[in-house]
Order: sequence, then structure tokens, then C-alpha cells
Amino acid sequence: MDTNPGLYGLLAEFDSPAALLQAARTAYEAGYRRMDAYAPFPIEGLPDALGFHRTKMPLLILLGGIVGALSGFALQYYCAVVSYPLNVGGRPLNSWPSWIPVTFELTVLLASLTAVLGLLALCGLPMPYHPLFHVPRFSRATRDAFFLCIEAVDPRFERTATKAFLAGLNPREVTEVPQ
Amino acid sequence: MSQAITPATSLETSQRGEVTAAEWARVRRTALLVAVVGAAAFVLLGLIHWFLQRDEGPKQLLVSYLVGYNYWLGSALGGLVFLMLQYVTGGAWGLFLRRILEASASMILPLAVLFVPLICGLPIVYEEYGHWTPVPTEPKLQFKAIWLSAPAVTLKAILFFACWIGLAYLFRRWSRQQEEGANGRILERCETLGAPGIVIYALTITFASIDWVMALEPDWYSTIFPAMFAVGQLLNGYAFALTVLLLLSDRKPFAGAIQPAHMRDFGSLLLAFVMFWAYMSFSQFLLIWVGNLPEETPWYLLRSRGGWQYVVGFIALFHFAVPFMLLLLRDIKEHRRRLLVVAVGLLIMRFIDLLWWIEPSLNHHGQYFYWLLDLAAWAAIGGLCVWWFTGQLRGRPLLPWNDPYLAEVLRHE
Repeated sequence: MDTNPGLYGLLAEFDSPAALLQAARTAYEAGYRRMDAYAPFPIEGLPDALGFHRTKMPLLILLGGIVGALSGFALQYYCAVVSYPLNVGGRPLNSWPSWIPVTFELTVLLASLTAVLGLLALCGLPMPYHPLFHVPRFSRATRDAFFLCIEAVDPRFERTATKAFLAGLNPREVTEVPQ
Repeated sequence: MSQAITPATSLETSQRGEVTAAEWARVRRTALLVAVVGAAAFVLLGLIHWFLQRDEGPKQLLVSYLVGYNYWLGSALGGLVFLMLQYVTGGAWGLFLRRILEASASMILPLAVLFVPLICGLPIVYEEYGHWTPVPTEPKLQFKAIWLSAPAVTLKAILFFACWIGLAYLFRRWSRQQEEGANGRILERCETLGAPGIVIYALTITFASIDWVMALEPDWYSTIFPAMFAVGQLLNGYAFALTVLLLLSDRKPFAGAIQPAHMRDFGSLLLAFVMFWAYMSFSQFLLIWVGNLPEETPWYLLRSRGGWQYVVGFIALFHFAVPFMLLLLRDIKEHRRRLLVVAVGLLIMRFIDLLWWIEPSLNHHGQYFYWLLDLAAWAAIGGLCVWWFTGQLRGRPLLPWNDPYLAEVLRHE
């Protein structure tokens, strides 16, 4: 960081998804890790090329589901057995079969809420400011341009060498991104 | 969504060439051998059983036959429905499975012939039909007595098989035409028939399941039963086709073509139908349990006593809980052998579930070895069905090369 004051990273723009995919692979092979790719649509194989790791989302969602199931069942158990026991047609107070639908619904509810909120939290959203917004052409990432950004925090990052490396990948242009 | 994709090395291991004619012949010989051994065991065990229990003997034989028969009927009809479904929905999974599903659906032809013993045995299997003579006075029961009489059941069975064979024949014929010349209209035709075909299946299986399985206890009725029965068949048909695909997946032309993303789709579809089955099965139980009506509860009372309670627990655990948890995991779905184990496990559970539906309708007088009879019938019918199935599958390209969407599916690397 100190060697590159005020620099967030270097942004290379490519014309096609294939070129971006190839660039990401080459950069990964060259040892770069702190980088990200931006494209208007999902590109098959791109996460692999960037060396994406598994996230904690599945575990969080599972935990959300388990909490939902337990609380759904406990809610009904407390109402029907502890708080207000009522004899309905001679059935046992703990009529578990009729509690399964609500238990199931709460499992799904808490699991999906965890998925939505957890995704936002882990992605750091909402994010009103990002250094890449300094690059005017970056707005085309949502339309027709494909970008690869190597961030300055990467241990291998070096302003001139990385710039030369990116220029060698045949991009449309390479831009410095200020913090 | 989350971006965790690890390269699926599992798929690339040991790619081999196409299945050779000699290999098909060996599989078919084994299938025939299983059929013969199964039939011999069925006759032998049946005679012993008949000797031990003179009054229930022939009925037990036919009911065991019904268990084995229904299993393979599920593989065939489930295959037919998935064949129509993949035409209607589209998607890569359907292109990989299409030829296998066509061969599954074609098993309906030998199964139609194998239905003859059940037609002949109607008065024995469904002897309760007879306990309405003289014809009851209540109008509802009068209708039931006619609807479930042997001639009516026979006529309906002919109609059902005509529908199923007709559908299987048309899809197969059109896919052959597509194979011979690339006519773009063929796919359109298949898609057009697919949707009404699924409706035809839903209607026919509703009445067929009532006539053939629910009528074993003719006083009992459940409006959700046909849906539960149909979902069981769908799971059976899909798990069967998926098992065959996974067994062939390290061979050409599947090797290298099936990507981890496809494997996840196959696994997720299996998970969906495991959940659908559990939903239907539990719904029927819940409604009857909450209703608590004397004409409905005996079905479950019979099936939760005398040892059957352990079978119920086993089914709840291994037909739902365990495969449900396993199929949530990406590491299972993307891995050929692991997914294969889950699919085969579910096929075994389909047999146990059918056995649990059908067998308790009989009084076994404390004897338990009838399940060997069920297994022998399963092997005899299954050997024949698999022999027919592989006969349909070999000698044809395993991928629909003239399908306009196939190139798109195979394009990425």
C-alpha cells in the first residue's frame, strides 16, 4: 500500500468474454490473487479462473434453516402443551404431525432470509462508493465491456511491472484507479 | 449466487470409449440370467408357500407379483413422463437423458404383456371385490361394485396401456425420424405432444393406481393416493434413468460432455423429487391422522404395527432424511460415484416403499418370508425389463445428434 500511495489498482478493459477469461487465467498463473473481474453477464469458468474460494453461505443458510425448524416446532409446542393445553378431539397435546407444515415453513423462511441478508452482508452491500467509479468507462461493465482489475493490495502488485503485464494481455486500454 | 466452483476432477477420470456390442451383449445375458433365476425362485418359493398356507397361497403369489410389477411399471412410466417433461421444459439435462428415457418408456411394451397374469388373477387378488355380492343398495357402493368389477378393470387396463404404449411409440418414432434427417419440425411436434401427454398420464395413472393398488383394500380411500403413487413412479423413473446415465458417464459420448454444472442439475432434480415424494407421503398421513376417521385410519394402523413400524422408520430415514441431506451437498452432486450411490439407494427405497404400501393388505399369519417372493418377482420382471431396455438402447447413438440444441450444450470445451 505504501509503495503505491493513492492507488486502488489497475483496470484493464477487454472486448469479449473470451478475452477476459483468458486474461484472468494468465493473471492467476502469473501469481496475482487480489483481483476481480467485471462483466455484464455471468461467464462460465470465470470464477474458476479467478481462483474463487468457497464461501460460508451454505453453512449460514443451513444454520438459518435449523434455527427456523427448532423455533417453529418450539413455538407450537409451547402454545399447545405448556401455555394453553387443550384437548382437541382426544388427540395428544403434543400433536407433532400437525405441526410439521408450520415447522417446514419457518425452516424455509429463515433459511431464505439468511440467504438474502447473508449474501448482502458478505458482499458488503449496499456500497454507495467504490474506487472503480472513478473510471468513466467502468459504467459500461453493466452493458458491453469486460474488465479485469488487479488490486494494489496484491503482494505481487507493482505499478509499472503490473501495468506492463496487463498491457501484454492485449486489452483495449489499462487505467490507473485512484483510491 | 455463491461462486464456489472447484474443478470436478471426478468426471475426467478414466474416460473410455463407447460401449461395445460385446459389452451390451454381456449386460443383456446377465439380465436374462437374473430373469430366469428370479422366475425359478419365484415358482419354487411360491410352491413352498402355497404348500404351507393353502388358503392364502395363490393370493400371496399374485400380490408379490404386483409389488415387483409396480416397481418396473414405475421405472417405465416415470421414464415416459420425464421424456415428455424434458421436451416441454428444454434444458441440457434432458438432452443427456433423452435416449435413456426413450428406452425406459419402451419397457411399457413387455410390461403390458406381463400384466396378463394380474388380469387373470383379478378375482383372487382383489377378492374383496366379491364381498359386495349381492349388489349393495347404497348408490355409492353400487357404483363402486361396478367400477371395480373384473370386466371394468380389464377394459380400463386395456385403455391405459393403449395410451402409454401410444405415447412411448410416437416419441420414439419421431426421435428416429430426427436421427435420420435433420427435420426441424420434429422437435416442435414432440414439444406439442409433451404437454397433453403429461395430462394423459396424470389422468390414466389416477384411475390405474386406484384399480390396481388402492383397491387391495376396497373399503379404504384417499384422494391424495393417486398423486402419491404417481410421484413415487416419477422418482423411480428418474432415479433409474439417472443411474443408467451415471454408469455410462465415463464412456463416449457422455465422457467429457457432462460438466459439473450438469451434474448439479441432475442432483438437484433428484433432490426435488425426493422432497416431492416426502411432501405427498406426509400429506396423506397428516390428513388421515388429523381427520381421525374410522374408515380412513385402518390403512395406517395396519402399516404401523407388527413390525411395520420399523419399516416406516426406515423409509422416513432413508427415503427422505438421508438422501435429502446428502443431495444438499455440492460434493455429492458433482461426484459421479457418490451421486450414483444416492440414486441406487433411492431405487432400493422405492421397492421397500411399494412393499410397505401393498403387502400389509394381506394377513400373513405371522410369517415373514413373503418378502423373498416379492424380491424374486422383482428380479424376474426386472431382468426381462432391463433386457428389453438395453436392447432398445444399444445400436443407437446415446445423444440426439440431430437435435438443434445439442451443439449449444456441447459447445463449452
